[in-house]
Amino acid sequence: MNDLDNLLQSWNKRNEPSEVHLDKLRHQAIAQLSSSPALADLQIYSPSTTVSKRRGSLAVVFAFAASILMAFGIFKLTTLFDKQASSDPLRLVAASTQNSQSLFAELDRVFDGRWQSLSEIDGNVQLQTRESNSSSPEPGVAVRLTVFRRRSHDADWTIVWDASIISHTDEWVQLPQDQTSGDLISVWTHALPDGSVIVDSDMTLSKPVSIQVAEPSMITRPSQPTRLWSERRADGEFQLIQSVARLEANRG
Amino acid sequence: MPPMAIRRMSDERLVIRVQQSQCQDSFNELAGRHLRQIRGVIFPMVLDHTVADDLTQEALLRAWRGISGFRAEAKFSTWLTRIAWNVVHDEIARRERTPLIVQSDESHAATDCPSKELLNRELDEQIQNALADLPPKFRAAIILTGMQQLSPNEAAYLEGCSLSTMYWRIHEARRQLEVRLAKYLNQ
Repeated sequence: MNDLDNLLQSWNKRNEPSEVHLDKLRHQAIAQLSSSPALADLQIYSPSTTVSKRRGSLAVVFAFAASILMAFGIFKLTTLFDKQASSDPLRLVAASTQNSQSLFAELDRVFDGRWQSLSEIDGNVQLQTRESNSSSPEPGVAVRLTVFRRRSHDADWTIVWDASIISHTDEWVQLPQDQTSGDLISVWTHALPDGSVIVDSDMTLSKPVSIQVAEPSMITRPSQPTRLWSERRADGEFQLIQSVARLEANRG
Repeated sequence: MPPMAIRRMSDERLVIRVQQSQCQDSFNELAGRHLRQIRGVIFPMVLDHTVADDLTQEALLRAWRGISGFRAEAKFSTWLTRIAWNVVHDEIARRERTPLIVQSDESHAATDCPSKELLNRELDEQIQNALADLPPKFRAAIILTGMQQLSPNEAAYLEGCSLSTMYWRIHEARRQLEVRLAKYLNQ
């Protein structure tokens, strides 16, 4: 940076408005939004809110389908979660996504879009449903968060905690729904045209290792697991790896 | 949705919320995050605080109206800066017939030391006059790269010109400013 740059930047800084001034400006602009008609002309995606009149019978169908899918889910998801050991944790999570794809398709077929997420956290499977289905067949995403540990530098990495979530894109999934434990996983994804996925993930975990991670807007390629966190402690070295897989919608 | 939850969301997630449900709270949060930046590119182009405030509001309104067209190929901040930039260019085109009149606004330049304030005021006037005398394309080049710290590539994208053209404009703008402000340089 030379003198001219310094001169211009200090001039620019002296002419910056105060926070109060900016706040006032923002409030004035926001106040005008309600009277701005242009948004009505735009095509805005909004999920269908149509609910079947046969709500009573739907609950029975859901319960039945959920029980089948739970079993199916446990079987399918756990195949991805083998407690393997390796010298490279990133390689361990690059598992085949074929199971997730068939599970996603099965969920969409059975629930006709009336499901939000299927998750398995350290062996516990949870299906989140909803009454209305989405109006268009959104693609899906499988997100896997895995904690690895190795006891010493020479030892292999082993999986000590695992979570896998399947949902449609643009869904904000929060797990577990009972947040009293303090542990929380929150994931939101958005598919990009080039095949990559934007992932927002927040995670607070107390066991087997205390982790607090918030990764906003990480652009992730499906074939490239990402290290979100790592730490060396007295009982070993830990890493949290995130991987995603895109799943194609095939409803209707 | 509690305000804290909105504050923790990324730009991309907020944009989706606005696109899907016209959520004003989400747009308000986005505006708060980027207002300083967009006003920062508008003011040096128009050199008038009142006009800069009006154009900043106009840019936010245009962004609100056009947000359904935003695709995540570009960063939201870049997209918003481009909108602000278009608003500025519309204003400059409207003013083409009349020369740019530099407005001094003392409320934005107050310091604790009177003598320093006096010096700053004189310097500010000289810089504003020098910027005002630059052709708008040169002014744009130096504002984007010298003040907003954008790369020549990003500046070329915003200006809709080739990279080599942008380099030439930066070079020319710097040369003219260095002549005009020689008295204050290398001190």
